Amino acid sequence: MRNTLAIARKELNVYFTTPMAYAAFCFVTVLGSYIFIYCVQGFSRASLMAMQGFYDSTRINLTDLVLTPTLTNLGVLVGFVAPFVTMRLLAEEKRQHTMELLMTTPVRPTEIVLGKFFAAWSVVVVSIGFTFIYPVVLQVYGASAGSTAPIEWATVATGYAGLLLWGGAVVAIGLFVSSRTENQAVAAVIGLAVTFGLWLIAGAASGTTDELAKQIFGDLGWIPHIASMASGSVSTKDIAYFISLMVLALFLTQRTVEAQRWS
Amino acid sequence: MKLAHWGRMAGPVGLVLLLASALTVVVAGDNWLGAINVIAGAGAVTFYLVTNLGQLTEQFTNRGTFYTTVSAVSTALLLGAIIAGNYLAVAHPKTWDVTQNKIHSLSDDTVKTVQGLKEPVEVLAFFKGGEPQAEIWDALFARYKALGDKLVVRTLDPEKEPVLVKEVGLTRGGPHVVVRQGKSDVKVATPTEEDLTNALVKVTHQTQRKIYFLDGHGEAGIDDKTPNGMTQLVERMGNEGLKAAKLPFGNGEVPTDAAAIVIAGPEKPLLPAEVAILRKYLEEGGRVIAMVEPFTPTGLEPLLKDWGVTIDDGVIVDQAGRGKFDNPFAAIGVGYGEHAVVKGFNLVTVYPQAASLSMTPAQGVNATPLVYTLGAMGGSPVTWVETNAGEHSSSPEGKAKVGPLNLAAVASKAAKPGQGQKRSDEGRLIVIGDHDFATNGNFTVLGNGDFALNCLNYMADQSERISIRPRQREASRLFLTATQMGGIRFFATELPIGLLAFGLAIFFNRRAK
Repeated sequence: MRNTLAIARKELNVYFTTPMAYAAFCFVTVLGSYIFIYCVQGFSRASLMAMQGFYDSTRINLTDLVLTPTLTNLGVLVGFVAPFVTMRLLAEEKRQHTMELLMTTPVRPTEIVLGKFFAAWSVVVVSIGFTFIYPVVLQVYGASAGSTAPIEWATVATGYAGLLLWGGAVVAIGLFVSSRTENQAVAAVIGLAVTFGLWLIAGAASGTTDELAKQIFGDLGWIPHIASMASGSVSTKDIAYFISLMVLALFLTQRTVEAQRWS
Repeated sequence: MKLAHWGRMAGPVGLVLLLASALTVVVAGDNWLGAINVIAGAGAVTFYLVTNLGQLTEQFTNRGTFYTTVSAVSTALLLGAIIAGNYLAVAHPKTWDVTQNKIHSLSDDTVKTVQGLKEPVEVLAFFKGGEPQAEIWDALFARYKALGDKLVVRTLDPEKEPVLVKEVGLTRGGPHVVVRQGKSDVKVATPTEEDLTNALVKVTHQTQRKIYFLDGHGEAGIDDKTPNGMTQLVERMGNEGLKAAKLPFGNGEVPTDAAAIVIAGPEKPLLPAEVAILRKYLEEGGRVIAMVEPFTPTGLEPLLKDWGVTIDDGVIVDQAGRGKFDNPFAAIGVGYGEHAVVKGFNLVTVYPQAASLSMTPAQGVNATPLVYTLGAMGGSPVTWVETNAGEHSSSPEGKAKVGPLNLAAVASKAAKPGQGQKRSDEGRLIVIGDHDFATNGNFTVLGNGDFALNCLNYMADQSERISIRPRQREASRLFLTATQMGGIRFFATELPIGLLAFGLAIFFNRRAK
């Protein structure tokens, strides 16, 4: 565990002393804020129309119409930023031939993989953490507009839990892809391709009438799982999905790094 | 280029073709193209193996082979474990609904309906691949299927099943989903829990229970669409498998198919002969819902008294109604008795002008208050009975009866074996001190509709479906001033810029060292 933490600390030092982490924070907060403001403006208009009787006032809710879509779209941003956060983790080591040096140290491949994983996941977690200001703003302004409980905090909690799990899964995938190449750009592109492939594969579910295929392809996509958690419904299959991706990707990465010793 | 090089290019292409063949067959539905992909892919991979045999042999006989084999086996085992774990998670999902009003949980109505299915019910969903509605329906079906295995869902391509389409009578532009059991089928137009559950109810209740509404004394009309009519109640009764009909008293008998009789606010008293018919019907195990009005004699008073319920003289004044609805006579039902009719019922009901009811002992009768008003707040009564018609005093001082006041009561008595036909084992009477709550103008107010339907379902022996209708989140508002919106925009811009600037500052500082 000590080696794992040491490697994580070293990677975090690299992240926070280079623009990499800050670029990730900037990306997530800029686009996340754009999405949030867009949803808030729409809701504000709907509130006004409801007050004037043009809209069914019982159907508008801040959590449903602002936070849930914002959190779901943050999942897309996380899926986009994580491959760039992870692209250099192992690819750089291979390119600069420091991997061979690392293999000679008494650090196990598992510790190397976990240390780098935790560092990258921390960067993604902090990026997501900056967006926590959104529900706080809604709570303050919603309460001042007369809503007794403007935000359902339990739903917010499950939404962020989903984002953290998805962040971990996509970081693990990015780390595996980084372990397979020396070129950071290739690692980023392939990581993005896998992330978006998992997004689009759910579309295959709607393209078939075969029940089994519909079930399999539908559950392989990550958007339904994130959307479900962001709306306040957590299922064992959502948790199993994200953890499975994480475990599989980390295992494959560990095998790849272990292979460096044998080659 | 050497053949080996061509082989090394063909190998990955062949692998991709083999993997893509599965997608081609499943998604495009083209078996021929899938077969071509398999043949081409297999050919390419074989070409790679043949042209690189020497190199592959060398690779497989070096020291890395053992490691590679171990890796492959362990990866396969882990993949197998992951697939098994996910299969279990999908086949037997456990879901937690953390929303305040449990909006993702199916209502009690639905749970009881699906779990109460005795025979399998088939749901046929006719969608072509890629239709956006199909996804919404699939999500709904998944929630229903998790409740039990009696619901069998089949998704069909209408173009590939023309015979079935004709059999169920689908039309272009009409509903795409059909619920059927045996020869009975019901089409479902919208992918909502309410419509699907109601379809299940309709299709499993092949004979509709008939509820007769007394007519001819100024009662609210079941085909009257004005705010004073009851067409909304009748429509919702249809969703519960109940059919409404007017009650002809011409031949002096209550029809044998009557599951219950409703007397909806008569303006003129019933004739003694009519009351006698109702008395006999109740003694035989019949069911009657009497909705009365204050200051309006109905002729039913002696009958109700024999069943343990007395209508108090006067009208209820409710300070809560005065405050909330600007109507001093709007009585608010806030508490419910211990009875199957209102089991689990926690919605407020509103009665625009109601008489209060008293419970009086009656032999052989089991009478219970169903709905009651608030009693007092801060030590002062907030509800009382006003006996002077047209007056509404703002104080309970001097009033004979103060709250809490009964708005509705239910009474039951074992059916008397006699010369008449036995309708059921138990006669039931529900008395409600108002009828306006169930009219079109007030049906959708708070819990009014649900309470009315619960009473009807209880009378028609459909108590297993008494429950609360589908839920939604509490409404919330947001009114942002220009300043507040500007503040949000400012923060949204400055935060990312600040983070990036901070990062660059650290980076350049380190480079300078």
